[in-house]
Amino acid sequence: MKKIKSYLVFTSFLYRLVMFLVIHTIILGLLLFLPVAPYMEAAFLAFFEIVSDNWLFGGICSKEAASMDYLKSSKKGMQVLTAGLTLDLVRRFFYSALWMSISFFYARSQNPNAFLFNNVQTVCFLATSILLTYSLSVAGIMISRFFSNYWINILISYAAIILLVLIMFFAQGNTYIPFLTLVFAILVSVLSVRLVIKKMKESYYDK
Amino acid sequence: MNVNNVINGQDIKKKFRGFELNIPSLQVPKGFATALIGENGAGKTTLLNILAGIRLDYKGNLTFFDEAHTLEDETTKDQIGYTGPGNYYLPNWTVSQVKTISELLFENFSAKRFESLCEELGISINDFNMKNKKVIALSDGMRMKLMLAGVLARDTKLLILDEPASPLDPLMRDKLCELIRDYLDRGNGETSVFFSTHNISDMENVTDYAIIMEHGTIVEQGFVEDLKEKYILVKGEKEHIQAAKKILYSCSSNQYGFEGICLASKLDQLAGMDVSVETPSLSQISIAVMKANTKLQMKFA
Repeated sequence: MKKIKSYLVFTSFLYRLVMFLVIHTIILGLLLFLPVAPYMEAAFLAFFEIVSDNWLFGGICSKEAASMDYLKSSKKGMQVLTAGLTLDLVRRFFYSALWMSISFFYARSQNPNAFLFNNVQTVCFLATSILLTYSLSVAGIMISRFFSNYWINILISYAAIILLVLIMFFAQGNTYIPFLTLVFAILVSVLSVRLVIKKMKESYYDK
Repeated sequence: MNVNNVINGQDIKKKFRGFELNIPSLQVPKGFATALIGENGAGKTTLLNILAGIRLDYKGNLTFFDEAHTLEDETTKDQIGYTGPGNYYLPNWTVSQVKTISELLFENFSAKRFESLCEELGISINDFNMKNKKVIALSDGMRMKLMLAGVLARDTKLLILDEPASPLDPLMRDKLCELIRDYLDRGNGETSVFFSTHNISDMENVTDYAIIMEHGTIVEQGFVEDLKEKYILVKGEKEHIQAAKKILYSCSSNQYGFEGICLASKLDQLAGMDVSVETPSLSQISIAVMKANTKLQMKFA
């Protein structure tokens, strides 16, 4: 419970409004009115995840945020920040899993000719879309946290969308891509937390 | 006066890009407000950061609260409230987030007291716009008030405040002195405040003890009343200025005469000159001591 609180304290009212409410409404709307494929939902989710991080941990690795003095003045600062960053990743993964699964099965139910995969291919495609949406958004926030400028988040999110759609298109029917995306997802998850913690630890010392 | 110390330091050293902090001995008395005075680059912020535990790259020994605790102890940081300049909060935090984050970071933080302090300091914490305003968008003065509300809402034994008066208007500086005095009174001799300041005059009425730093080391320290006995303010006719300069720490003159600070022990050397002596203010003493130790090129007279 304390870990969940550690995450929630970093979320502002605006962030909560957008990420806990608005984003689901928009994706649901996309799903119902534009059931083209899970690509659209994946692209939209990745875009919002990267852009909205600017309200959460935006610029935390930038020079402007360098010292994190308030967190450091508490014995729990490092612990709270680590828990916040980790829970944020859990939430991102949950969102990806939720919406990619819903949109995949919904798209298939609407169009029986879409995604004519066997069971293994279905699992592989679904796993790839979940892991890819998650990992590209995490990779995006990891880079954008070095900049406090909002526009950098938008630029990175565009790049993530292009990559996402391209990889997902080629991933159809492929059985080895899920493993690659799994490795990539683990790598960016660990790295995204460690980079911030490293930044905080470094600020105790002169470079 | 026999007093216990809230901070004891020995051989505190730190080197960084041509700057060296070298403090053989540091004592901050318990139960008092201590001002850390010095020119820019003297090492005040570095020292306060070390004491607050937000810089670890130093050598030396530090103990807190009657030498019973070090910064590594579980409870020490909880007992120290620190406010600093620059990037104190994360850039995206809003005013209301400061409250919720503080509740999580510090067990001794009272949200109720924080709200009441915010209202007292003119921060409308319950106003929707203010609540959701990013701290980075606040003015320097408002941000300092928020920091002060944050540390004062905690049940601490020591406040370390880096330049708390600088961004505040004169009225708020007076309020700051009142808050510091209240904090000390509530602590009943068990709480202490250590703050750096360039606004010596404004903070003088709350300063009990002063530490003056230059070039990374302490050049003068003592209770303000003792310092006011140690130094005297000398005023005299212009004709005596050359003779007086040899004795004075600092001296300024105009067409009518001169005034300067000198050690009270050297008062007899002024015999024969037409001078009057007065008790100097802490500001006058500090400037004189800084002038005597500065690397800046000062005009003496």
